[in-house]
Amino acid sequence: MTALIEFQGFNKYFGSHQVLNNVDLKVRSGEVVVILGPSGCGKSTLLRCLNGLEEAHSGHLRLEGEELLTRATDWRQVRQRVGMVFQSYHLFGHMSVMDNLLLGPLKVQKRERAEAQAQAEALLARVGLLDKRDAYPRQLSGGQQQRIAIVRSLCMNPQVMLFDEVTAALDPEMVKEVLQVIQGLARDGMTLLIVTHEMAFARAVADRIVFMEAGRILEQSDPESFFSQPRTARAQQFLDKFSFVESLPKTMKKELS
Amino acid sequence: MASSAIELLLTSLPLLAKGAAQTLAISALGIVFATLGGVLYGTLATLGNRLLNIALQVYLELFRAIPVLVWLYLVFFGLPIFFALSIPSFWCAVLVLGLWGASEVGEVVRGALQSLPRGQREAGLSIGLSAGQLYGYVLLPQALKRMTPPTINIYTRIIKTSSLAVLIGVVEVIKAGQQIIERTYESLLIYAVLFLFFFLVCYPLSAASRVLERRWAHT
Repeated sequence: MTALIEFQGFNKYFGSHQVLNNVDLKVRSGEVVVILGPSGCGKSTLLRCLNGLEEAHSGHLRLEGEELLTRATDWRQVRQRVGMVFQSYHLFGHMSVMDNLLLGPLKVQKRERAEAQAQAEALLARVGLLDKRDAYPRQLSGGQQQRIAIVRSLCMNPQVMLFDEVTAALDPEMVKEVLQVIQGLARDGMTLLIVTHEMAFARAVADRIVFMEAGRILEQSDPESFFSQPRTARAQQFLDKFSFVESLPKTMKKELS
Repeated sequence: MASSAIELLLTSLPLLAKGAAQTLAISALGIVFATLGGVLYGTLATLGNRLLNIALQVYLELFRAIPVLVWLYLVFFGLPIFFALSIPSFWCAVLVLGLWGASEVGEVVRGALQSLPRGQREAGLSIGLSAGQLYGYVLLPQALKRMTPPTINIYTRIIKTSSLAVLIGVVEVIKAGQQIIERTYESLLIYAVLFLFFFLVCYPLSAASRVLERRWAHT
């Protein structure tokens, strides 16, 4: 079986700085891959290359076996198959929720309004926001806006969804409602590529963890073995930082007195 | 005296009205031209094409550095000499005001587009919008609020600057006034009428600009 997405010997530079270094990554259809790594390791750039928001320099990138790094690539076509959700939602502020959802289906895919709207309403109901269909983004909380942004991508019926730190800008109590939506998509068998700093979520939702540093993939493994016994010292170090709160001494008061 | 002033106003009204119509026509056409050209300029300037940006920069600097009056002379007297192309003075004025206005409006549009969060562009692209759809449905509608108040102020400057057309022979409202003054020597009265005319045309515009600016300040 060929991979749905395949990065091969993939390189990307910002100026003289190499942000992606010989990346090899295959994602099968229906797989949930979570990319972890310290800030600036290139994980967001990797997602952005996949829908053409960043241009790669060399290597191969294939979607369903079809090479994307050629001049002939129609990125508008590719983007309809690759949904992307951003850290700061980026809903269109001058449009109601429903208009946000229908812009792509009606103007890009030229679908029938009735059919597109029925789908949008079903998806809104699924994320619990059907009553917000006529609201404007500024009237919604961050968590609500992010769920709408996810629905906006889903309305295009993509083959894969990319999530770029989608809970990083949210208050803690809103993180859950967004993660639940993503988990629901994973359970439905949708192909997901997720960049996140929510370790517990990564462990729960991922079929595979990809750990990156300085533009390279250092290791790929199933979540249980990655979190319990990472193979590289760098990954161990990375995980230690996240568990440092748990390891704080509980007898702080005594030490002070 | 009072009755003769009214009499003078009544007799000169047709000529003044004709001049006013010329002023308004030149201004209105110049504004339409400036707006369309400005939106085009602003859009092109935010595409990130280096060659295009250089060309637009040259255009902008030419209209910033060279007075409108000189442009009027260049187009009116220069085109026939260098290109054997003669344009009626009315259309010369429209053309120059439009091109000058487009450079001014264009900078406002560019600024408004650039002040939008970059994510709006990326979100639009990520659902597969073409460049035209991205600007038409997402970016320009959101830039509209930021660009309208300063653009209206440019409109009032276009209206006032249209009076320069007198120097290439257009009988607009000021020229009409001067013709009446030459015959009657009633300069104070006629200039008062001209003052009132420009005030009545421009003040509502700048008032509207202020109201919009306040209303949209926090959205």
